[in-house]
Amino acid sequence: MDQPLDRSDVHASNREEHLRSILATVPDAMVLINEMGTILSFSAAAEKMFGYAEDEVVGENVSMLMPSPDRERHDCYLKSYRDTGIRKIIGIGRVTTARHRDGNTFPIELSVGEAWVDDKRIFTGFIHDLTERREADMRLRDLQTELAHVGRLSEMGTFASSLAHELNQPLTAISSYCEGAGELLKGDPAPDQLDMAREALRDAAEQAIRAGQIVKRMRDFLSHGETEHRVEELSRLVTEANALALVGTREHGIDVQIRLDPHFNHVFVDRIQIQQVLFNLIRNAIEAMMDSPLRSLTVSSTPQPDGFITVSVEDTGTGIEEKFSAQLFQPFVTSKRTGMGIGLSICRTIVEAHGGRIWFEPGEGGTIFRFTLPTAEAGE
Amino acid sequence: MNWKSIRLELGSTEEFPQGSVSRGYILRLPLDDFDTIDLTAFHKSPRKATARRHWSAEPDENGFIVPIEGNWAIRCDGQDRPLHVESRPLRLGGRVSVVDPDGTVLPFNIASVR
Repeated sequence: MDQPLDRSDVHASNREEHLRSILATVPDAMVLINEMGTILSFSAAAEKMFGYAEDEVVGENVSMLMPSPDRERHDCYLKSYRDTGIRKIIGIGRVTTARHRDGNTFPIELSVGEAWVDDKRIFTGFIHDLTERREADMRLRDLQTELAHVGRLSEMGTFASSLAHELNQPLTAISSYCEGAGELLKGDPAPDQLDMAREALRDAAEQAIRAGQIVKRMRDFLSHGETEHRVEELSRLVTEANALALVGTREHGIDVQIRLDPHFNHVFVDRIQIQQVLFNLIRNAIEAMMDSPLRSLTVSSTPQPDGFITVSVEDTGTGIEEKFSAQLFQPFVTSKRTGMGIGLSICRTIVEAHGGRIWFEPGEGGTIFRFTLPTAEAGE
Repeated sequence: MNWKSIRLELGSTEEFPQGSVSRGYILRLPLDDFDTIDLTAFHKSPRKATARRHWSAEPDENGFIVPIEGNWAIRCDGQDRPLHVESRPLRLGGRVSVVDPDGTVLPFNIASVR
């Protein structure tokens, strides 16, 4: 015969039932894993969000719910936390991407909690699907960014006239010095003429440096002098920007592949600005693929020998019309029905302020935008 | 539009008697009215026939589906894995097999076609 439950058992049972009812109704997905990353439990919301039934995924590695590069790195993240105890996500949370059973990635906000149960460590991930959330907020943010840039372009108009005047002086001087040196070197110059020609060329070089300083001031002005360059993980910049750019696109079935060189992951950049560049390029790529039967987006990185990393955003869209290609990075040039045509102009300003360059080339059935960023070693 | 995204999930094997949803492929192929591979459409745009292999915590592999000696193969990261579809229709619930580089023949269930 069964033993009657005592009051504490009943109390615990009620509490458990209460907790279960709460978890069953919370719209966020909840995934419980052990410290090796094996899935222990998968809530009803998680089943709906990811397309798997709990009994299909319990016992699997949780990395199956992530796209690359997190997928292959997650075991290392866990090991690093077990070894060092340094928290990079627990109690902090982050915006990233998850992968649905159908292969599509979608943006999420992930919060992770840690607990010890019977001397065993478990992690609970709470996952909020960002697909639809804040879409309006994001459009507003885009507009604000664009308007702020337009404001700066307008200030630039005023700034440009004084700049032209300022720049004209060293350029005129360079021209005069070079002409003078040319005259002095005509025929068979005497030794004192050679000395004078050398001096003129030295003066020309000094003026060229001055012109360069003026241009640098203009760049600083354009980037608003508020940049904060730090060593950042490129994989994180890409993952976050990609997650935000995917907001509102789930129904379009965009296939995203992120292929970053794991050996060259550190760049010396202003995080917000470079995420703006990535966000703009990824959104452009998504929009370019709307009428295309194949919607595949690839973000990849390739190290360069000169202390830079090339980041590429490739789409399978309709390509760029010839008439736009020459002026694509100029402000107010656009092939879109909506938009002001300054997204790529912003990208170029930011990339050049980082000492890099940005360009595009036709891909296999679409377009590849590429830009370079200084590596952490080069930046330091 | 007859280009389809076909998701394969590992079927029952000795190592995974219940199969495994975290191991599989996503293939993009043109299908005809009988749900078999549309050869005309394929040869018109062979680079559209992409493949992605995902295998638990291993890095994803990306590549293409290529015709080889009258059969098909999944070519990811420079490695060919023969894909046996024969002339069977590629429909939800159907089965195909893929031969790993070590010669192991792995069964896959067609988990979705869209």
